[in-house]
Amino acid sequence: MNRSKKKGLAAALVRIVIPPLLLLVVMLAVWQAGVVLFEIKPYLVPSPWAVLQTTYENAGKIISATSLTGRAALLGFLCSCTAGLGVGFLFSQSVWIRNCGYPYAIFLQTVPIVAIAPLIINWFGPGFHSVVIVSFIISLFPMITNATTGLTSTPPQLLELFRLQRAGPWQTMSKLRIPHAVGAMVTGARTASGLSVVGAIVGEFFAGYGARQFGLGYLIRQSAEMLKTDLLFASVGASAVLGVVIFSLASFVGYGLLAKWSLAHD
Amino acid sequence: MSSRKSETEGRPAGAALSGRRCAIRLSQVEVRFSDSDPPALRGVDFSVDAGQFAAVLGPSGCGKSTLLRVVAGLLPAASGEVLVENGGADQSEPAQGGPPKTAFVFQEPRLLPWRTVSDNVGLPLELQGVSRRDRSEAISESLALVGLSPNDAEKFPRMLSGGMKMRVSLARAMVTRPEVLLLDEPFGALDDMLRQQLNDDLLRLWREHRWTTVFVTHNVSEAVFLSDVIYVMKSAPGEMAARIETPFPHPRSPDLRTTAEFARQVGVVSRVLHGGKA
Repeated sequence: MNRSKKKGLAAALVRIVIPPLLLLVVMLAVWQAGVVLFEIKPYLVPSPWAVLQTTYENAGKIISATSLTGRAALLGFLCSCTAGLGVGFLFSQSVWIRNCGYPYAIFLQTVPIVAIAPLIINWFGPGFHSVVIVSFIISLFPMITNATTGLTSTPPQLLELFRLQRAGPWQTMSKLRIPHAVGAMVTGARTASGLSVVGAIVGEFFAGYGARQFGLGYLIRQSAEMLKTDLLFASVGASAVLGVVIFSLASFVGYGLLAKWSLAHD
Repeated sequence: MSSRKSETEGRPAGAALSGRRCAIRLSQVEVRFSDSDPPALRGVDFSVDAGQFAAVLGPSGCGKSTLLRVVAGLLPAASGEVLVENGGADQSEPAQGGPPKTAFVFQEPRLLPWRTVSDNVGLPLELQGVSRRDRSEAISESLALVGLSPNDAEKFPRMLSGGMKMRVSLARAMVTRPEVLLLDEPFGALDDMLRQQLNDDLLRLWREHRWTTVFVTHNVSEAVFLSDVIYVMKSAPGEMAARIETPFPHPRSPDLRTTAEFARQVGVVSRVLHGGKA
């Protein structure tokens, strides 16, 4: 890497990382001042300092819970990517197939996950796999819609170019439709990545593994029930960090894929 | 009755780069986009001899591009006959199979933005299953023909100017060594200077390869400068108004545009275009 590239990377990091960190510091300061000034009870709103202390004291528990939830979310996300791309591919093959299947895809999106999560637990039993299924269901829809839209929105001028070259359906799919749809697919994956964490936590609310092995959903529910608000805040913070990590991972892979595309698009 | 035939009886001498030479014959062709709409082409007769350069001139919406798409086989004719046949005179050459190789240059370059220049140019060969190694020579040759340097080969389309994009589009059309070259207002979006330069280049390439060429344009001067024969179309509903032969021999110098005879010929074609007689 040459010097100018290093400089550019450093400048980009400063531009991306510093502003949100600054805002975080300001918010923490306001929060701490508010708790002290208004003497707010710790079980209502603990101070950021108290949350930090609790996080430190329960680090092992939080890290283990985050890791378990993260694994479930990641697996759910990967399943939704695979299935979403497959369904999107099928939907792009004909209007008839799309008309048949799309209402059920919308059903996945509109039905509240808290309403079907107990059903899933009933069918598949409590445990890791049920959490993965809930995470998968909640993150599937954006993948399906984005993949379908991407694959069916190829400019007709380019399709005409391929038709003129007597390209076969598979050639048109692999050399035109799929490359053209990569941008939309990456957008779908980024949305799905955030939702997969939400899905995993919601799944754990219902399918809590138990006292010996638990994820963030269980930790959140348990600390809320026991009015351990500082631990609740710490768990919510860990959930947010997990969401950001999985979203960043999806974005990083997506940007890698898109590097050529985004560079190439006018 | 509508038919689209391809006859492949032999190859004329001296057509090594371009393969066979094909003549285009359209007879009483009618095209409809729907039963309720008036026809986009009505009783059109259109004929281009093998190795000839024809221009199709007409106001916007008269059916020029439709005519070109019918010749390319992208649109079916509702009635009439569409024939793209071997027009060579040399019967000693062995017969070649397959339909005529047709290349189309669109008004917009239509480059795939995620592919480099060389990958865009090589696309038609890639779709024909030609190996990467065999493609590379044809790509280099084609890029050189249109005046693009090897340095441009690895660039992406967004890095190119409008004129360069059009050259890439031309190179992509030439890479298959076509027998019939169809151009749909390819330089319409470019400024006058660049358009003239590309016209000069196109004419030079045509002289070297003698593709049977149909060039759609709404620019009278461009049509007169480039072509052996000009077909002038009426405005809707898409009928042919006249066939005018241009009296200038090849090779044509860019200075031809400044001569009085050229101006007179442009005037003649313009009058026909605006409803007068030749």
